[in-house]
Parts: sequence; C-alpha cells; structure tokens
Amino acid sequence: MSGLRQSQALLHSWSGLVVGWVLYTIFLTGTVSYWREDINRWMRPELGAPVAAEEAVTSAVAFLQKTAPDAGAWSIYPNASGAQVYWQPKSSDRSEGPRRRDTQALVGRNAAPLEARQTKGGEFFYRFHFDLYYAPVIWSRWFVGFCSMVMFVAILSGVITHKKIFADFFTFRRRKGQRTWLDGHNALAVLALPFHLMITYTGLVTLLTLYMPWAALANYDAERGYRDALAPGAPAVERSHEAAALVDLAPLMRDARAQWPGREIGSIKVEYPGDAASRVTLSPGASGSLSTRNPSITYSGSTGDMIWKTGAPVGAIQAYGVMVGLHTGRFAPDLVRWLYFLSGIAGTVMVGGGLVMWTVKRRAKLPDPLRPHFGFRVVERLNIGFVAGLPVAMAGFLWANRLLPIGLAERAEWEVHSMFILWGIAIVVAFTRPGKAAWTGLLGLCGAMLVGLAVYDFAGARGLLGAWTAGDGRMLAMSLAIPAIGCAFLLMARQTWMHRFRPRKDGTPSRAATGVR
Amino acid sequence: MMVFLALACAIAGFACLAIAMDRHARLMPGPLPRPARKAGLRSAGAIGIAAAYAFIAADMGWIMGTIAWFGLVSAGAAVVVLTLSAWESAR
Repeated sequence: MSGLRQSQALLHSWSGLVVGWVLYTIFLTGTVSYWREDINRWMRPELGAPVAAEEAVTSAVAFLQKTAPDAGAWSIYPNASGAQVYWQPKSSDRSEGPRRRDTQALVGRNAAPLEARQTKGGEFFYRFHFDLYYAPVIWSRWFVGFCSMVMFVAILSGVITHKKIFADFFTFRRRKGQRTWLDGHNALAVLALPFHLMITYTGLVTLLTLYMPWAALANYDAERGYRDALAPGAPAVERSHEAAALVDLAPLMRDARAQWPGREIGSIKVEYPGDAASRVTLSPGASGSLSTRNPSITYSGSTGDMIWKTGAPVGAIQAYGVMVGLHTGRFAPDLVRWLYFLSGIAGTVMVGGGLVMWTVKRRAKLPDPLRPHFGFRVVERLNIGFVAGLPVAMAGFLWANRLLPIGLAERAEWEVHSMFILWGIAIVVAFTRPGKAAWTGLLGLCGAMLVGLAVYDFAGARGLLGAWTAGDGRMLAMSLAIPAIGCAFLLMARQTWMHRFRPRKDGTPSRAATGVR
Repeated sequence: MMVFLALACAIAGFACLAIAMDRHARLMPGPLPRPARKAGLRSAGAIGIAAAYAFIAADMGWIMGTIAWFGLVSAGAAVVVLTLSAWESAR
C-alpha cells in the first residue's frame, strides 16, 4: 500500500504542478462567471433599472418594426436591462448560408435603443475560462480539456495520497508552517470534493463533441443533420410574399409560460415578420430547469395558432443538458448560486494553495534554502505571478472599464488588453522582486484596487449609494462584495508581510519552511 | 428560513461527528467520551446531516434541494472546521 501511495503522491504533486497555473486561472475566472449577468450590468452603468419581460418584448417588437420591418428574422432575448435583439437583413434568408449577427441592438422602454459603453462585460471571464484569449479558440479548448483531464488525475491521486481522510476530516492546525498548508489544502479538497469532481467532469462534458466527435461523425452525414437532431425545431417554411400583420406577442408569451411552469421566456425568434407565413418560436430562459437543452414552441405569426412544440426529451440529450446545466449553474436561484461561488472559491484556493505547497515542502529540503536552484525559482515566481498576479489583472480589467474613455476605438478590446498588460507587469514583478515583497505587494495592490473601486464608484450608478437609492439589490450586493473581496486580499497581504517575524517553536526562522522568502 | 434551518442542522451534525473524535473531544470540558457515547454522537451527526437534506428538499424540491444540500454540507463542515481550529489556537 505504501508503494502505491508514494507513487500516487509523486503523480499528484507533479501533475498538479504542470497544469496548476492554468487550472488556477480556469477556476478563478470560471468562478466569477457565476455572476456573469451581474458583472455584465455592473460594467454597463449607463443601463437603468430592470424592465419586465413582456414590456421589453413589446418595446423590442416596436423597435424592430421601425428598424427592420422586412428582415428575414428577428431574435429577441429579454434580459435584466431590456431586450437584446438581432435581425437578419432581408437578403440573407435562411437558404443563403450562415446567419449573420452583425445587426443588433439593446432595446429598453418605448422602443428606444439603449446606449452603453463598449465592453465585453462578464462574458469575457466566461469565455476566457475555456477559450483563453489571443490563441485560436479550438487550440485553447483542446489545451483546457487536456488540463481538465490532468485535474482529474490530480483529484483521484490526491484522494489516494491523503492518508487520513476521515481522521483528519475536521483538522486544520494554524501557524504550523508546512502542516498548515497541507491541512488547508486537504480541508478545501475534501469538504468540497463532490463539487470538484462534478465541475471537472461536467467541464469536460460541455466540450464533449469537440473532444470526442467520432460518434456524431459516424452517424450523421453533415454537421447540420447532427445539430438538427440535437436541437429539433419546426419544419422549415418559405416566405409567402403575402403581407399579414404580426400578432401581439404578449399573449403568446403567456401561453408558452403556462406550458413551462415556473419558467420565464428566454428567447423569441420571429421568422419572416410581416409575412403571412411568419412564425414565432419561443424558448424558456435558464432559470427553473437544470438542463440547458430548452424546449420550444412555434406559433403562426399571422394567426397566433400553435404549429409545433418540442416532444419529450431524448435521454442522451437530457443527460448532456443536465450535466452542462450542473456545470454552468445558469438555473441557480441566489442561494445555490452563492454555494456554487463559495465552492468555486474553495477550488481556486485549493489549487493555489497546492501550488504554494509544492515550494513549501521542497524549500526545507534545499541544500541552501536562501539560494534555491533554477527550477525551484521558476515555480516560486510563477506562483506569485499567477496566484497573486491574476487577481490584480482581473481588478485591472474592472478599473479599465471605468477609466478608459467612452469613445475610444476598440474600447472593449482595450479593456482586455489592459488586463493582460497588467498581468504581464505582475509577472515581471514576481520574477524581479524578492519573493516576500512581490507576494505582499501584489496581494496588497489587488486589495487596494478593489477597495478603491468601491470608493471611486461610491456615488455612481453602480456604487453603494447609487445602487441603494435605485433599490437595485443585485448591484448593491456587487458594490458590497467587491470591497469585501478587496479586504480579504489586504488581510492576505498583511499575513504575508507579518510572516517573517514569527519564529517557529524549535527556534529556526519560519522562512525556511514557508512559501515566503 | 428553511435554508438556515438546513444549514444549522448540517453544522450541528458535523459538530457531533467532530466531538465523537478524541482529537476534537479534548476541546470539550470533562473526560473523553466513552465508546457508547461516541456511537450516539455519530448517530446524532448522521441524523443532523439527513435532516438538513429533508429541510432543504422540502423547501426547494428534491432536484434543486439535492444540489443545494451538497453545497450546504460543504459549507456546514467548513464552519465546524474553522470554529474548531480557532478554538484550538485560542487555548
């Protein structure tokens, strides 16, 4: 048994190290993506109070009738700020190849388009956690998938390596150097183990058809047939070239909602608006169902009669939809969302702590702990650059959203560039400054940036005062959470700063056995 | 409110499981628990964790309740771990 355990321990520490920095990045950006919709709104302070779905849709239809009355199709997505609409110009009918999505607007009350600053918002963190950035998307997804597989190896080998899961279940010994790191890493891993297993496995499942395309390739002639089998819809229809007014969509929304108890309308597609053959297809939003595979109902756009609706879901598709749903947590009511977020933070700290522990364990065994060899130094510095540098960069992304001029060309891209520039600087700092100064400086900087953001925003639309006076509960929560997380970083900075001055019980200075030099 | 009841049950359950172990029982006043008492504490712990499931499933339905239960159990155990370690280092 001890031979097995030793080999698993070796596997665990090296598999964890090789992909740890990427996993930390995926975990942290993925975890904040549980608040994607809220970050979207936070980063567009121009947008006002939420609009009720039916009002938003009626307003969006009025806007589209004014703007694109002869479009091939309209797509309407009611959201917290109004309705996001897309339309296809008349020339690009369904038969003419891929649909274009370059014609879009966000519509608020009274058919008026809303103007907000250019930003990728919370979508950036969400895409980044599996698409990365700058690199081609497909390569990135393969890379992320590879790292997720290694995460699996690290979880399973970690469980085998852990000598006393039950005996040490409640054990967290403070101020004991290496012991504390190990206890903390174990506690975070064991207490949220169901989450870690679920999130890693379902994460791979979300990109299942990329990683394992063979079943689909063997059974379907073209990608189209396979997509249609995955997401069936009403049979295609041709334009009749006979004018007919579009029915009021509000009764259709009420009818569809009655068929999906407890769910709201998430999307509406109108094909050939203003034509006698026009069709309206409704699907529910994410809340109220675990599965991300949504049913749909199609109505005639000229008479309002129901034409087609999704049948009972196929088992395999339902299983896939539920796993993707479990991963993304889009269904989650606030309580479950918070639990997801806390579990994600536990995973992030587990990975970050595991990386630091790699150096903590080895530093004590170095011939001269103050002059480590090259490989050790690289790991130590990358740890600082990722574990402390990434949060600084993410805080910088939020600051860029506030500071970059509204009219800047490619503003949304520059927000992202700002984040990576800052991250690059953080990594340079990590490699050039003494370890302790770099840890303290970067953690403290991140804390100061987040607390500063709350101060800068205080009277603004997304600040504490603004959200309070507008009675906007979710933005109020954001305006409290950001400085709270900042304070947590300031506390961590304080801890690393204080570390050197605490001698161990046996009289040797603590720095020989800790992550801080 | 059922949520807080469920969380309280999870915390109480894990607290019972913890003080059924000698290492953590030392924090309590009095002598270490005897085997019969330990078995009782363990049963109480299991009941607490099961009761957490009953409350949260009754509130949110069994599908959402199950997901929330996993999260609440992790959170409840974390509260017990942090409390025990703070208590231990304060002594």
